[in-house]
Amino acid sequence: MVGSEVDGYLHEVAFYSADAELFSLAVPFLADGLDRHETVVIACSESVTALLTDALGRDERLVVAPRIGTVGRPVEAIARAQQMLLRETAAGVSRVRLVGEPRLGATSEEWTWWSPFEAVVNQALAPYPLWGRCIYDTRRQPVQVLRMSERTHPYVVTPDARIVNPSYVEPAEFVRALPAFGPDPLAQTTPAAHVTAVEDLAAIRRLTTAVALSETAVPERAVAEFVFALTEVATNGLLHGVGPVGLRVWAAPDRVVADVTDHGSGFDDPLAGYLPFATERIDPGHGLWMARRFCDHLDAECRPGGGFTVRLVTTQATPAPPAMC
Amino acid sequence: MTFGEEFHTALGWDGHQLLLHKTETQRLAELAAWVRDGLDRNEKVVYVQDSRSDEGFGVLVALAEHGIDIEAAISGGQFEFVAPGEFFTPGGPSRRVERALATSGAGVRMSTEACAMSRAASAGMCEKFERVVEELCRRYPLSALCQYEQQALSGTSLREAAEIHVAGIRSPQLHTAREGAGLVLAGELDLANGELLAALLGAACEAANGHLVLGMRQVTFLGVVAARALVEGTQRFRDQGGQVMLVAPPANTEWFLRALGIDRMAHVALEEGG
Repeated sequence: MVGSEVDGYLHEVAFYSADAELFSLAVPFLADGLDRHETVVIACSESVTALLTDALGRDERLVVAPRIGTVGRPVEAIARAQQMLLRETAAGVSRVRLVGEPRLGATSEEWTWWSPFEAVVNQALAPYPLWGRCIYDTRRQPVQVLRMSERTHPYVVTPDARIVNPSYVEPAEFVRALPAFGPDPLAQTTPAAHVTAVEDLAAIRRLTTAVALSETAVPERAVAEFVFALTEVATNGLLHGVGPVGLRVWAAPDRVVADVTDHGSGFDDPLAGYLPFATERIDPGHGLWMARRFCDHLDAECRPGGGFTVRLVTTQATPAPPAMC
Repeated sequence: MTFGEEFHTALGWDGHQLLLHKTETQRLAELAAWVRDGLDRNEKVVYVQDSRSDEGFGVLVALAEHGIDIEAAISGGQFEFVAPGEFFTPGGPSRRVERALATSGAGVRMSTEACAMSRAASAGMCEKFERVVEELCRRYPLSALCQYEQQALSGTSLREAAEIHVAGIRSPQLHTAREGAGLVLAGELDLANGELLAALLGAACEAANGHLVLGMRQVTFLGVVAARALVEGTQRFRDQGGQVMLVAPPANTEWFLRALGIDRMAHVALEEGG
């Protein structure tokens, strides 16, 4: 199969351990895109970006984008990718070609947080003409990240060939198998706010905002986004759950945590809230999509005899993405 | 301070307004603010209720508890009750308003409770009275406050009420007002008022003549339910080529609108705040 003949999203992984390998994997690929007048994007570390742009003669048509994993949140990154692709296709671009060097983190918590991005994009960006080649330096990336990348890309590329990846796992299966985030020690303490039966969403927004702004160092914009996410989760509980819907909020200097609980069985779809929507409608499920975009972590758990709980967490540390473009 | 009091100085208590309340406490607090505004402006206040009924007595007590010298207002002729049986008759509203205007130099404001109206008139007649009041508000220096329990309105009844009061909504989380040819929205838009918002926008689109301008400066929250109402409430209008302009939402609301993709939808434009 020739990549240039594929419609829709072609998501490849390539591993390298020397600059010469990196060159052979990335430079002809990008040059071919420029020759075909495609939109060509580099989303890599500074050093790799410099190597590649120099090799391509600093072609002014090259687009340099933030490296995945360095700014914002995973689901927000999916949203931005979709928006970029919609914009390019509306402008008549036949394909977007991208070399990306994801930085999924140095700790198991970080790459567990970011790994859904690599899995979910297979489904989220499937309708769009994107040829993405994710490059991983085997000298520098943790072995767990390399193993994760083996399972999230349908194709593996070497300098000589592209093969169907036998280790690829479908996104839903991959996300379902991810380890759940461990219990937050904060949630073992007395909550800063507790509402046993949520009825007034404006009131819980005021309550949560007051707690977060007075007791944490989470920036104001991140607090507003957290409260938006909380509203959407509570709305889902009121509309689709079994009441009463309860809320607990905890605060520490570095984070705010909220549990929204109802007495139903919740949702079981591991990809719920991960997939973007068509832009001309606001569909059911949009609320959870927005909630995942607007908080750092969102976990859902059905506890036997204990109802369904959605936990939202936002920390003070998430770097803000660049302005919407 | 009630939600209404935050906004009434900005949006005012003038015109034909619909007070949607969830609780008696809310209703009486908003009513007191409305009465105080009228008395402060030397308007004559006409309240459609039997003064000897429990409801009438409850109104007097509530107004006093909110710091209004209602006894002085009554004895000075600035506040009066009119019995529903007298008001809800053919020609009743016009006669009462004209009589009040004859003794007031500054205008009249009038309020009815839905329960009083429904006891005195059929559902069909209630809608006709609403339209009569709407016409009187256009013709005279008259403001009218129609009080309805929010949970009593849904579906067709909500759409009818929204159509008549589109620029005069006073509900716990959403107020509206006219601004030039456009409609101002103020408040927090979420599950509590999604159906109301969709009904209002549908009515506003009907009257919009191809361009609907929505002032959003005071929309301090807009969630997914409201976004859906915005999209669906204007869908037919936009499908027919109508343009919707969202003007000057606050920074967070603008951010959420853009994140939801509202600004990229067909025939929707977002004008940033200054």
